[in-house]
Amino acid sequence: MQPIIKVTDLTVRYEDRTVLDNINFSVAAGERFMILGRSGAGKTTLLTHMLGLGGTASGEILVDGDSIIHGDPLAKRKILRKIGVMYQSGALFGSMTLLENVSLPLEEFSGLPTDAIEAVAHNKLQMVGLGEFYNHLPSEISGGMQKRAAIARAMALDPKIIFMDEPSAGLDPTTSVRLDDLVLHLSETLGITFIVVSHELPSIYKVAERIIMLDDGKIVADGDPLTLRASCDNMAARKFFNREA
Amino acid sequence: MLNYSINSKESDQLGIIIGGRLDFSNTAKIWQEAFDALKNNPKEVIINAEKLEYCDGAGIALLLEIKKRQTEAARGFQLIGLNEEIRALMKVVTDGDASVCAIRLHPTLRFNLGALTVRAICNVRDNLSFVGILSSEIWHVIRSPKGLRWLDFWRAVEDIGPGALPIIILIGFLVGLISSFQSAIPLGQFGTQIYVINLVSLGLVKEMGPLMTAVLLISRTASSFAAELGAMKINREIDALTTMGLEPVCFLVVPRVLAAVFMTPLLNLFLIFFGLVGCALVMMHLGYNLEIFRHQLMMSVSLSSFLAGLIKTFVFGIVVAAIGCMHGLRAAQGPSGVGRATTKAVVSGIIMLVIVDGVFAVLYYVLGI
Repeated sequence: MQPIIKVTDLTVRYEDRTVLDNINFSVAAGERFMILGRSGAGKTTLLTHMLGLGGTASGEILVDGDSIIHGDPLAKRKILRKIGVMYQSGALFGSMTLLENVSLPLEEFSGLPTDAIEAVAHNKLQMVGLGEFYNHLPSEISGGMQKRAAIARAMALDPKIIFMDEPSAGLDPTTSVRLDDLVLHLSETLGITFIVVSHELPSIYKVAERIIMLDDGKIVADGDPLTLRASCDNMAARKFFNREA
Repeated sequence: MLNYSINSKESDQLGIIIGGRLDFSNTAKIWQEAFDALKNNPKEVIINAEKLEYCDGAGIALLLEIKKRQTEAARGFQLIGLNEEIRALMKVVTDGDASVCAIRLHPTLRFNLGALTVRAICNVRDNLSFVGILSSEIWHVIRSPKGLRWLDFWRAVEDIGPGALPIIILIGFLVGLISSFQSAIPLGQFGTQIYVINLVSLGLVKEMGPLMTAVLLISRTASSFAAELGAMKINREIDALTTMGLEPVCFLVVPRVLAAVFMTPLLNLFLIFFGLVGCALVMMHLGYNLEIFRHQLMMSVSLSSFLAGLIKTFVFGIVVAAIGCMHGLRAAQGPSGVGRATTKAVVSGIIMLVIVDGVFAVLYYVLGI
């Protein structure tokens, strides 16, 4: 299958420190792909560069065939319209209602009339179970609901890929499970590629089809989570999977 | 209870025996003595810790610091008899990347100078880049007003204008009142008290009004923009905009800058008007009626002076909003980043205002206004 994301020889240095060291992997279209690793392993740096928000880096990241780190700003913006992002905090705009938050990318890029934009945005909110809360401000709903609203906003333009940065962070186990179910549902019904940074083992086993594990800026494990748990010979990966026991 | 002895009788060797509990409450005592003894540059330090029962972070720091100094000076160090528990605690500390910390804690002058130069160049580059993007986006909005986010524009107008009106009125009135009283005394000594009106009105219209309005907006509006955008940056809302393919400058900065350009001249007019009211009250108190006041006012303030002051306010509006937004967008991560961004916005805003005002002063002098 044609990879939708291809990372080749990606190396990132800050001053004298190598944060990512010769990273190579690709993600197939429709895959649920997770990036794991302890704090400081380079997960967020990798995600930041995959979104074209990082600084100088060597190597290449192709998103749907186009370079996101070496293209000019206009080309990058075109690529970014193919993707949706859910940040750890949700990053909803506090002065806007949920409907306005979801409508924003549609207003800017869809060319639809206002009532159509509202209808589409409302549908997206319904898909994540927040149809009734369309008129609420982010501060008026719970953390789990904010994350679901952030997924709705990420899906606004029907992207091919959705990036999620630690979606379960700060959520109770029940809400976390509901969020995982939502990701599975959206992946299976819409065929969206999910790239998720996570620490949560239950989420990893439930959602991920494939994972990579970073340690000190290098990929130390690559494969499906159950196989890696059973047979990975890397110490960092074994420590990570065995903490459940 | 800490027991220790430091034996530095032999010039080549320093022996330290430590027993009991070495913790935050007593490490200071042995620290001073140990490092005084190290000044003799012993070829080898031997620490006997056989009777050391307990050691906390302060004790570990002492042991490691002695080891570090001896190692850096290429001299010997031995630590004997340390129990397993303390050895494990020491390993936790030494497992961290000490070399990176050392580089950051003791940068050389050359390193500092280089870092400062690189930072200064990056700042200039970023400022120019921001000005370029802002100019391009404003030009784009002028050519196609549909591109402006009108709701955000009107929100910013409300925030900058009506929100600031009470303080503008108060400061304008007080500036007019105080400067009239202050100038009435010396001018009265020469029998030219009537020229207080000329002095205050011209000063307000051409210089004090625009500058005071801009300074008030820097402290109120630029700081508010910096804090608001800084908080958005920390909450990753700016990243969210970028990853939606939206340009944060167009989305967040342009409506605020245009609102400031729209409102600053209006606020300036209010400040001047209430300054003149203050001046008129003082002059009435000194026995001059309103007709005299009006006559002197019309005589002293020409249309060119009035327009010269007004034109400045448009530029001041751009400076106030752009600097506030720029520092907000550059806020560092963490709550202290917002505070620092706000302070930078106010300080650099005031400096920039004075520079721009100076440029206008030279320009108007050359033009004879």
